[in-house]
Amino acid sequence: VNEQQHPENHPDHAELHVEVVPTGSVTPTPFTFERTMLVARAAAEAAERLKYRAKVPGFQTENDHQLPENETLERAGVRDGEVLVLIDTAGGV
Amino acid sequence: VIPVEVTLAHLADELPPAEQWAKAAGWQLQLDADELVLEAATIHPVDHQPLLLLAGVDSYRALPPSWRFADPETKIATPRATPSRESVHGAASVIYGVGVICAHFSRTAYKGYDPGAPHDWGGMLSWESVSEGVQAHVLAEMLAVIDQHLRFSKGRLG
Repeated sequence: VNEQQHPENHPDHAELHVEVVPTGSVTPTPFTFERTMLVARAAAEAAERLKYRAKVPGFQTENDHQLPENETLERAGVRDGEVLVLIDTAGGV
Repeated sequence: VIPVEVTLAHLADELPPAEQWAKAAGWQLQLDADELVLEAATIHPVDHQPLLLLAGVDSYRALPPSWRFADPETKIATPRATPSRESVHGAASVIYGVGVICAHFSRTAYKGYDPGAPHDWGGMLSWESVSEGVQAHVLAEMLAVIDQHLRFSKGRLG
């Protein structure tokens, strides 16, 4: 197997370029994350940068599919250029 | 209680982005500036019949809006007007019951609004600092959270 076929072995391919939209907004902001970053950590970074005050930040796709927080972005199926909606995964009380 | 002019100034700041979000998400917003009531209309995700979400916004932002689902004709909260409460990826829905959206950003969740409501949380004036449960701090975020939870509703309470 050609090592360069593995994204993590190619510097340019080790990153994901996505657009993040906080829920309640329609304005996307570009973000670059490592493919191996956990969904929860990436969402927390986005929430901090966008000053989105979530109790438990998370991502969902534009089709309302919530990404598993303990998976890496790559294993969660995030693709380059994808739009991710930043949500608060905490529930009602 | 705060002056109406202050509330209207907050609404002038928050309604345009809320309307942008609403347009993209399939909601229609209308503010009755005399009564200080915000109406948000959409359809139920399963039965595709109209839903009306009302919020008194008097004294906003000192007090949170009084979010509740209501009959589109009578504007009264009823079981038929209220979406069923379903788990949201294992978490509780903010759609709690007739006349109640149960979250820190909803006046209808507070005993200070209705003694039968679920929470005290230090009083309605503390709503911005309540850390329990899903967070939303501006109108667009509140609507988006309710919409997110509504998408899991399978029917109506009655």
